[in-house]
Order: sequence, then structure tokens, then C-alpha cells
Amino acid sequence: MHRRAFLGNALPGLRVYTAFWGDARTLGTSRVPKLKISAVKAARLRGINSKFVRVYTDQGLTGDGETLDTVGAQDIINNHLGPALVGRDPLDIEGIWFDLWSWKSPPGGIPPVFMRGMGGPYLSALSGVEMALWDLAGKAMGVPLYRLLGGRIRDKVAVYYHAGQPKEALKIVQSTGVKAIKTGIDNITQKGNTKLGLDPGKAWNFTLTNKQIDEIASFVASMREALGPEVGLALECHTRYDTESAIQIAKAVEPYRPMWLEEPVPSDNPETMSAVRRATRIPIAAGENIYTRYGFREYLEKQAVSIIQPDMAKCGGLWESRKIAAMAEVYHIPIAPHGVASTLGKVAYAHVCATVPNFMILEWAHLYNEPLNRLMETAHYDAGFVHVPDVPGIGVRLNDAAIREILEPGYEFK
Amino acid sequence: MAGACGYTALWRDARAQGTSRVPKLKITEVRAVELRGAGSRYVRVYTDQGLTGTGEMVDNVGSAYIINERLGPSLAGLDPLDIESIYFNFWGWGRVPETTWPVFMRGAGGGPYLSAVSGIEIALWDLAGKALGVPVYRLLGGKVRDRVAIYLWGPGDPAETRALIKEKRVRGFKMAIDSITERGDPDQKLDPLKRSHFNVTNAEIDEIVEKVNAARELIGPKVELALECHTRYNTEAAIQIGRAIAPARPIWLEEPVPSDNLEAMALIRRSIPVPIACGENIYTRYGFLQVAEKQAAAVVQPDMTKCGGLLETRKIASLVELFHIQVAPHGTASPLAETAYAHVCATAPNFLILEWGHFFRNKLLNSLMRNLPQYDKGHVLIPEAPGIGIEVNDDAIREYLRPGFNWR
Repeated sequence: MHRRAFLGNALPGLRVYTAFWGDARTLGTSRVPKLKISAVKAARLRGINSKFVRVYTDQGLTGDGETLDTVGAQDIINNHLGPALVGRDPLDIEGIWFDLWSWKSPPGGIPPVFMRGMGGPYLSALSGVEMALWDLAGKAMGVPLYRLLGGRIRDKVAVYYHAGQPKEALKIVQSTGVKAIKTGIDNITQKGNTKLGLDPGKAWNFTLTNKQIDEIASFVASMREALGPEVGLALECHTRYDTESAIQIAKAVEPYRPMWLEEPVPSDNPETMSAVRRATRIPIAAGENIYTRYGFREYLEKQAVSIIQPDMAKCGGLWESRKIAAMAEVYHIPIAPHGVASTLGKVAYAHVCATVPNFMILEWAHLYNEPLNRLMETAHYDAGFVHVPDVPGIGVRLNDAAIREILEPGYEFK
Repeated sequence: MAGACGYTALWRDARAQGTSRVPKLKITEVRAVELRGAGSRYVRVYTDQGLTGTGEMVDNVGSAYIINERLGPSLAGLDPLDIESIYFNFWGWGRVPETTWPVFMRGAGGGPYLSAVSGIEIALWDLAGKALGVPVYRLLGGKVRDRVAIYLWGPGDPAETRALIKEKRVRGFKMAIDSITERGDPDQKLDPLKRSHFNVTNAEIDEIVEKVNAARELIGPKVELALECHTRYNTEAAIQIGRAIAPARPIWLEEPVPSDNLEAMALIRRSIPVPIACGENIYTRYGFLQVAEKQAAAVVQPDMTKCGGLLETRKIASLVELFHIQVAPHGTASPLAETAYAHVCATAPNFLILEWGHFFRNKLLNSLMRNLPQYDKGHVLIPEAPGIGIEVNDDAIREYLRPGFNWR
């Protein structure tokens, strides 16, 4: 049998691809359609932290993205960034990103360089749009996203899940085969309410007593005991402590060999993060509140962290994160991206992780979040790994009807 | 003095009752508006006793939405005079309805969220001044000067410039040099190099020097000349320009490179004999701490409507004071916010000069105000009226509202 015919029979997808490719070569053109952006829309949903972004084109092809942990990003997209992009070729992603980062004033605004800030709603909006553009680019070229980000070095991506209590943690490990768990330790000593009240010290409990440190250590001991010595145990602090309390906690939990201690102090000052790192044997991780290469540069140069955790839906997007990872690689620092998005966002992150040599593990929150998971296709889970889809774009289809059911007033999703 | 009389009576009354003279206020609503044809967005805090405070934000998108939909509703019922608490909650762990905690969404600094917080904070200070019956500077530590030196954009037309110097006694001008060699077509889609990361040829440097020298000649040796670069150059181009224009003795070279890598800024500062200024794109104490520790600038220029507000800026000034760095706030706002800046400038020992870009010459912005601060020989006098001391013209603001916004 002729080799090509054999492959063609065995793999119909490949045959189509081969034909397509042959066609394009014969014609002397690329196989990319000439697209124009016709609209960009973002939607806010009731009870859902994720905001979905859709880029529409003149040929009907669309791309989906996501942003979260933000206020105002959807307004910035619908009223400012979206209108700025109408008529542009959506595949000029680097050009679009750079314009919206630097000097292209969107309608109703001034050059981004004066209003974007470092992170926050503007950059969240930009990140959501960027993710949608990559999804669109993959679909336009008929390739999965990872092929546009350098090509993959792994086809499945290690993930970790969340658990609050030892029993729950053990159950999740046993039922899923996951190799690592993250648990929050800041809630143990958080006594105050978190409503907008007069004493924020109650929510941001800077300074711990010996008793509180003991409480944390005994909780961590119980988690380690339940999980056994081999399962990774990440400890989340949510930026809640002052520098010295963070050091004291780290010392107290050292015997239980956590995988990392996460954001023990706020990521506003790389010197204090660095002081914590140098005072303990435990790896220090941070990054969900650090933004763009410019933000990560300082943490890397000062070797202030052991592991970085960019949130791709906030820090500038998929390509910006790929660049951040490449920068971290030079410092021998791995990335373990922050992942509290829906399956759409997390699978997009997985495409990036598939291409990064210095990838460690990807956070996979909301495994059992039904209201969120019913809005889209599920991922392919495999004993603590997620397979990177081999279909064009991100490879997760949204359930538009389900999304439309919970739209906030004033938003549309078509 | 009727005011003093009223105050004395009020004070005696309060002492007799054993209470403070502060009314017990509750926030009922916070509203922000965008206007057609003006970059200023106004914020008003309303209270249950009818007293209101007005603030302003500039240079942003989305902050009016963030206030109207999210931050404003979360403030209803709170005491508006607990400003530090309100600010800290918006920065740290206050619960904003239907979203995550600020610590995860505010950004490392700056951008629309912090602009929204800054605008509210300014309105709260205006309200606090009115509630306590004192000008804002009394609530920010008390003043060290009565009048604040300002500079404006220019120089423009030679005859007008000479008149400004001779008659108005203008003390300084700021001239943008990045536009001199900007060759790009603003509609050019695919080459952002035309708009930023400028490289400069020798011929372009000579052109810049020629224009700077002409400006210096026009304004004479005594009037200050600031040179604005708007973040446009690459590091080496900035150094070359800085060396070439040094003989014109500018008061500073402003943001020669973007403020997102302060090592580059510090290298420029060490390489040229001209002071470096930056800050309009640096945010909060956390951002300015890095400038100070790296000695990346001689002068810092916080924009109080973007960097966290009036008290945050007072703290920034105090922080850089330890490094013997001067403060020259960024000022592209309308007279309302500019006057609020002046209150802060009146309290900071290490204040240098305040940008008052529009210099009361922007008819639209002036028409939005019921009164303007008094100007005298290159200075603005700090109003003694309660609050910021500038009343906005609500009717005029309503005329320019963008669709979907209300102002009452």
C-alpha cells in the first residue's frame, strides 16, 4: 500500500490536513483566511466569577476567552477595547497586544501607557481579549493552540486540586489519582468578618500569636498525616501575614515538607518576599498578583521566590505568560500557573504549560463546581493529569445557551 | 468674622455636650460620571444628611463603571470619615459585592481599579473637610506653606509666552520633546515602533537640541523649563538626548523610558547631568518605594487621581523625603482635582512645583467649576473654605454627560 494512502485511510483528519496543505502549497498561499474583527463582547454572569469574552469576525469564525478576579474588565472590553479592534486582522496578536499596552488610544480613553497601571481591570480585559484571539487563531489555522506557542514538549499536564480538610483531601487523592493538593492555612486564624467594616485587621490578620502558629502547624500535620509522605501539599496564605509571622509559620511547618508556601506576604514588595524565602527551607511561591514580564522581572532578579504562579487571565495573557516562563527558565525557576478559571481558561493555560520546559504543575480549581462546569465541555482527566486537546483553538466549547440563562442584565452572548 | 464666630459657638457647644463637633454621617450613595470632550470623570459621595463630597479621576477607562456598579454600593451605610479604613478595605480585604477581594483584582498598582479608589478618596476628603468645617490641608498634617508654585504646558506662541512671564509671572513651562521626532502615522497598524521605544538618529538629536535651545532662549534663564518624553525612548536614546540637551539646563527630563523598569531609569539618571523625573505611571507607596530605593529619579510626580489618592500621596511624599527626593505632582486634571493636589502640596516639606497643565485656560474645564482658586505670581493660594474649596457647576456637568450617566 502506498504510504500516503495508508496514512490517509488510517487517519481521516490527517488526510484532510494533507489535502489542505497540498492545496495551499499549489496555490502559493498560506492556509489562513483573511479575517477582520467585527466585534468583541464580554459578558458578566450571575454568581460566576468568570467573565467570558468572544471575538467575532466578518467570516463568522469566533474565538472565546476568559478573564476573572476583576471588576470593570467587561465594561472596558465592551465600551473601549472592543470598539478599538473592529476592522483589525485578529491574527496580528502581538501587534494588537502591544498597541493596547502602549500607544493606541481606545475610544473614550487615552494612550494605554497612562491608564493601564500594572495589573488590575485594564490588564484583565486585555488578557481576556488576548485569550480569545488565540482561540480564534487556532481555529483559523486549524491547529490546537499549543502549536502556535512554540510547539509542545509534553502532551499532558500535571495538575493539583484543592481540599480544605484531611478527609476530603484523602478522598480526592484516592478518587482522582491526583499527586498534589492545595489547602488554605490563612482561614484557620482568620477570626473577623470580611465585610467592608472598620477593622480590616480582622480579615488581614497580619501578626500571629504563638497559639495561632501552633494551630496552623497542627492542621498542616493532620493534612500530611492523611496524605502520606508522597503527595504534594501546597499551603496557601493569600497574602495575609506580616513578614515575621510568615517566617514563623514557615519554620513551624517545615517538618511536614510542603510543596510550597504560597504568597505568605503580599506581592507588593519583592524584598519582603525575598526575606521570607531566605529564612526558610520551604519553597516560596507567588505570582497570581504579579503582572507582565515587568512585574515578574523584579521577583526573578531578586530570586525572591522559588516558584512563580502567573494568572494568565490577569497578567497579560497566554503569550505574555509564555514569555514570563521563558524569563523564569533562565533563573532556574519553574512555573506553576494560578488556575481558578473555568475549564475554558484552565485548558488554555494547559496549552501554554504543554510548551514550557520549566513547567511544574498547574492549579486546577473548581473540579466539582457544577454551576461553572455546566457552562462548557469538560476536560480529559487522567490520574492527576489533564490532556491537552488536539482540536483547533483551545478546544473547549462553551454552552452558549447555558451561559445566556445566567447573563447579568445589559450583557449579551451570541 | 462670621465663620470664626460660628465655629467658636459650635466648638463651645460641642465641648459643653462632651461630644465631638462632627456630625454622624452615613454614606447613602456614590456616583461617578464620564463627560463628552473632557478626560475628567467626577465622583460624588452622598450622605444621609445631604452633605456631599466631590472628587475627580483622569486618564483612565472603566473607573466610572467600577464605582457605579461595584465600589459605590459597597460603601452605603458606612461612616464617610473613616477614610483610612475605607481605603484599606478597597486595597486589601474589604468585600466588594459579587466579586473577589481587592487584593486579587486591584493589580500590583494603578489602572482603572486604583483610579476609582483614588477618585472616591478625593471625594471623601472634600466631604470630610466640609463635615468638620475645615480646609482639606488641615486634615493632612497642616500646611508648611500658604501658596503652591505651579508650572504650565508650553512655551507656545512667543508673544503670549513673554506676556505670561512678564504679566502673570509664570515660573515654569513643560515642553514635550517626544513629538519633535515622532514620524509615525497614528493610523499605522502594524509598527508600534513608530509610537514608542523610539530610537533617535544624530540628526534627530540635533533637531531636539535646536528646539529646546529655542525654548530656553524665549523664556530666558530664570524661568524653569521641564522636558517631557512621555516614556517614548529606549534607554540609550534617552541617554544620548539627556547629554545633548544638558546645556539648556532643564529642571528635569521626564519619563525618558517607561516607568516599568526602574533599573533602566536609574541607569539614565546616573549617565546624564540632568535631573530625572517620573511618577505619573507609578502607583502607591509600594511603587514609589522602588524609585526611592534605587534612586531612580531626582523628582517624583505622583498623579493623585491614579496613584491611590491624597493621603496615599502624602505618605509617598513622606517616604521619598527620607531619600531627599522632591515631589512635583502630575497635574492634568480640572481645577477641582488640581486644587485638591495643592492642599497636599501645601503640607509636604519636600514639595517642588505642581503641574497645572491647563493653567485656567481650558474654557470647558473652567465652565465646569463655580469658582477657581486664586492665582498670584506663579503660585496658587490654598483656599480656606471647608473641603477642597472648589464647587463644581452641576448644571454644566449635566450638559456634557455621556449617555447613561446621571449627576445630581
